[in-house]
Amino acid sequence: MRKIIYVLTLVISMGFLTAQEADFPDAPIRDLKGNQVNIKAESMEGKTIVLAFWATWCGPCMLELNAINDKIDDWASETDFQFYAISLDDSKTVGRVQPMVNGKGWDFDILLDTNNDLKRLLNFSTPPFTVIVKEGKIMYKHIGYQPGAEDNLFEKIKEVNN
Amino acid sequence: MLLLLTASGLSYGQIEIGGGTFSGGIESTSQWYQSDDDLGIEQPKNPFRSNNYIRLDYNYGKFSAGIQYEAYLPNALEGYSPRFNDNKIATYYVNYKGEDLDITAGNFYEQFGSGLILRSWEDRQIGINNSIRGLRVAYTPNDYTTIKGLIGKQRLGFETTQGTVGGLDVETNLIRLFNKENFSSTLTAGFSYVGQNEDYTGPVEDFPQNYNNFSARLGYSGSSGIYAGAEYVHKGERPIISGEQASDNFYDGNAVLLNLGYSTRGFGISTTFRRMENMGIYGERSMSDPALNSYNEAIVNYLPALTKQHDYLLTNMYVYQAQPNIDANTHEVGEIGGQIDVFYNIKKGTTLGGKYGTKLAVNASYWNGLNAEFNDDMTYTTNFFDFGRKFFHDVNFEINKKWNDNFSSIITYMHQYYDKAIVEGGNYSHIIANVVVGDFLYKFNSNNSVRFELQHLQTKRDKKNWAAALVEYNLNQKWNFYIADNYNYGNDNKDERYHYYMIGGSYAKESTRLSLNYGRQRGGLICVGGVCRYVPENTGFTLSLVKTF
Repeated sequence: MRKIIYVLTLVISMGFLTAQEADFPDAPIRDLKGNQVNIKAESMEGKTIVLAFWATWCGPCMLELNAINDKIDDWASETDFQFYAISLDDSKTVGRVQPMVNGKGWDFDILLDTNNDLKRLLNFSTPPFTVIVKEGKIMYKHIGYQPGAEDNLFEKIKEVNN
Repeated sequence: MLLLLTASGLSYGQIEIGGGTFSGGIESTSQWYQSDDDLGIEQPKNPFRSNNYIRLDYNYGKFSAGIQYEAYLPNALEGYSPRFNDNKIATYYVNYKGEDLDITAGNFYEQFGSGLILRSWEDRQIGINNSIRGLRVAYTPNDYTTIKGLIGKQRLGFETTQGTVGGLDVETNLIRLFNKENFSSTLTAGFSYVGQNEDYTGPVEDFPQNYNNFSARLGYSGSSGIYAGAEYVHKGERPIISGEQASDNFYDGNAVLLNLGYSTRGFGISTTFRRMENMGIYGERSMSDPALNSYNEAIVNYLPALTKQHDYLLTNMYVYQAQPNIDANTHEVGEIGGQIDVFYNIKKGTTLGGKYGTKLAVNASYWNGLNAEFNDDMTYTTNFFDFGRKFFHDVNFEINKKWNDNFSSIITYMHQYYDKAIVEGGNYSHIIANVVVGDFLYKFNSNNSVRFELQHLQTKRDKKNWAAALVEYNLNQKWNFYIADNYNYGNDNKDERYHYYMIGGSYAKESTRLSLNYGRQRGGLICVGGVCRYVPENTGFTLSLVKTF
């Protein structure tokens, strides 16, 4: 019983932790053609990077990416950032990623985290999960999606860029 | 205690220690199980159970280290392996990452090719963690070539497997290898070797203690939008284990996986063919006995069912699982089949497209056994291209339409064939089911919205017809409340026309999410990414917390 209390206290006290500006992990990831992309290195060059983790089987992710796709042109005309939609599909469903992205008419750059290595380094459990990275630091993280959350994300991107 | 101290140190918001940085995450799910007279469920002796995962990583320049502490208090949730029975550090690692060298000692995760020969990964929702504890070295001489070597034992509960696994994988882009400037197309080639060793002390002479598995693969992705892939795996011969007895014969195995796809803006198509014969590979001999491994433990390779991963309550009633193994009772030796996906976006401004466009998706999959002829001595013969007993099909389509700035809908139809006897074992006839789902979203403004689902499943077998509904309200970008019900209104036995109701809510802010649910969970397979876990029917409260920092 004592151990249960220890662990639950630990879990709850950690629930209140806030850590700002942790380093983004230095882990290269591949695009749809198999070319390596290093998000951290790219963010060090001064550009704000926005990541949306998703999967073909994740309903809220579809809502989120459809909503972002409708607005991303307007966003890009207001402020400067690079957007990546990172698929967490493993080999069961990764074959659906490329046709789905094109078939839905999404204009994003897609990266593949097929064995969830980057997901593990960022320590989140399920998509949707969005991250803003600048100069190698994590500036913002968000779990889950509710309709309209894309507007908050855009506000955060502008905040980070100012 | 050490963890507590570390955590209290962290609580002051200072995460830089000794020049390095800490990061981590927690995930905690607790359930309070209740009695349910209707469903005939008695409250378990330990009605409170919880799964807790705490991960801490420390990074200092090129070095990093981490632990994962797991606590199943006082027991793991129902449906998880009884091997998750403790609370302590379950995985740990130290890593060095240089310019072209990446070395890990401790627990690591790895995948060769598509995972058909080797994959270690973690999925907490279905209780899988087959990380390998040992040594992994990856060498990247240039940005298109990787050479990986590993050796270790797989995690099994809080222990490791009896067997040792070692592997080597080489992958390169042939186009870049011969033409340094060409980035528009890629042609990757890969080769893997996975060796296994496990001591044997039993009476059988010449019992194999070492197994060798090989695979080769090619992948092409062109600038014209065409892509293709092929992978072949050979599994070294070994006895099959059934009823704790090893067979007298040794059987090898093989798998072929082919992909072909094309996509351009507004249209995409993908086709897959796969044939597997005796392809299950396990890190411990005894775990290859299906009767002793109902929790998918100690798996070396990843053999997902290549079918669409549905995400509605009733479309997940009959879920296929791949059938890769030899079954001495049913005389099945594997599976053969394929899947096709088509996506199409009807343009904005056309009659069908309307103001915002209309998105269509069609998916079909078809899986059969292999026709095998067994001889009296339990050897068998089978042809490469020979479709045997039908296991499963699923034909489904989805229309996703945004009507105006506030309202959008997704209509899904699915037609399924499910051989329950093959997938779940036992004596059942096959099931044919038709499912229709309407999913509607209405946004009041940019912070508040309501979503509702209406679903119906029709079948003449099993528990017959079901209806389901869900309403969910999203408030202020932080709160979510939902109520849902699955109603088995078509059950022949009027007393078993149960409602599986659920009510719950959640609060999410940045990287923290807390949720609470109460209700009845319909027992069955919970599948994530193609691996399934059987969850017993239950009634009660569930509280979960996830947080990253």
